[in-house]
Amino acid sequence: MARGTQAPGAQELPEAAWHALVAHLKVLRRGLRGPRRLRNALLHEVLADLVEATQTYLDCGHGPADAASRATRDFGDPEVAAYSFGEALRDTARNRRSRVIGSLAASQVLLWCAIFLGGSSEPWLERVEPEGADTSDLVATLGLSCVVVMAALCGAVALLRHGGRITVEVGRSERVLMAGNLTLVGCSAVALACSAGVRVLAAPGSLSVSSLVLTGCAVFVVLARWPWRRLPRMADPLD
Amino acid sequence: MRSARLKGHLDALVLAVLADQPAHGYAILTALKLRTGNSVDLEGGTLYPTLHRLEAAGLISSDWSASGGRRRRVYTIEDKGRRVLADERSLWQEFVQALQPLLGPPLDGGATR
Repeated sequence: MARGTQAPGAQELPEAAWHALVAHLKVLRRGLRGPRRLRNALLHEVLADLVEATQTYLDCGHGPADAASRATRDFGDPEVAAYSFGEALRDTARNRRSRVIGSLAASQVLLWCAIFLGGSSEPWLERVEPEGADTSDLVATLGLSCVVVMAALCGAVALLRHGGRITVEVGRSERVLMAGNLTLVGCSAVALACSAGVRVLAAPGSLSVSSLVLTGCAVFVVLARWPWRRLPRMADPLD
Repeated sequence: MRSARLKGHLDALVLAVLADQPAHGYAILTALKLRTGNSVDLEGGTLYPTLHRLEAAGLISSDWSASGGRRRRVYTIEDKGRRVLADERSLWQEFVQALQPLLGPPLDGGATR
């Protein structure tokens, strides 16, 4: 392959050492399974470390081919490593997918329930007022509100307790999806807060509305401050 | 000592190295080797999946940084990782104390009953 600028360390090593590393990495790449972006990131990481290891052996006085051979031997059998990497990549991808889907689902449930309740023909305030309210409607509304609020609160607490420190590498499409989702949830929370407005403040009976609005805002804040980390765009270092 | 013999202790060893300072994969391998007097000679193929697993568990985090024109993935221990490391250290002490009378050097100079 051409010693392009994409590959880390391509220009630093003698040609013989470089070719030995590339041959080693090609075996590793052949055995890797999983999302391309993660595979490329992994290859970059391994290549950078192999280059440093080779450089260290070179500095110790070994010849280029010998230095590269020692560095790759330290790394281990690439076919065996590919299997272990494959497991790790699959776990990472599964983890990432479930977090993204979970976040989307939680906020979408909140959003659509809010739209459904907020857009009903009767204002919520009237529904939850004791006088003149249909008991079955009241129970249904309160029940649904409780389920939504509890689900959202549980999700928010779980995210804060377990998700806050876990960075999740997301690609461009997932970032767009999350940004759109956050905008929708944020707008609906603001719209609900505005529509409830003075009535919420004036009437403590409208607990379901205010709690839903507050919960929506809480979920929005949690999702927004979750350290979604942008995975750097990386081309295959061997291409 | 290769990875097979380290099974069960690998996470703690990696966390112990990262407890001192953030490091990338090769630096972790080198530190493990140096700090154990070349006894622990881990393969990179074993280390990276371990690092990714620890990161997925929230014990460590990683960031890509550019140094010397190279992109390096640098790992940092998190608070949760430090707590797990503290637990692992006390478990290790208990383990050694429990087995020392059996597997440690005989106190009576090697006489057996």
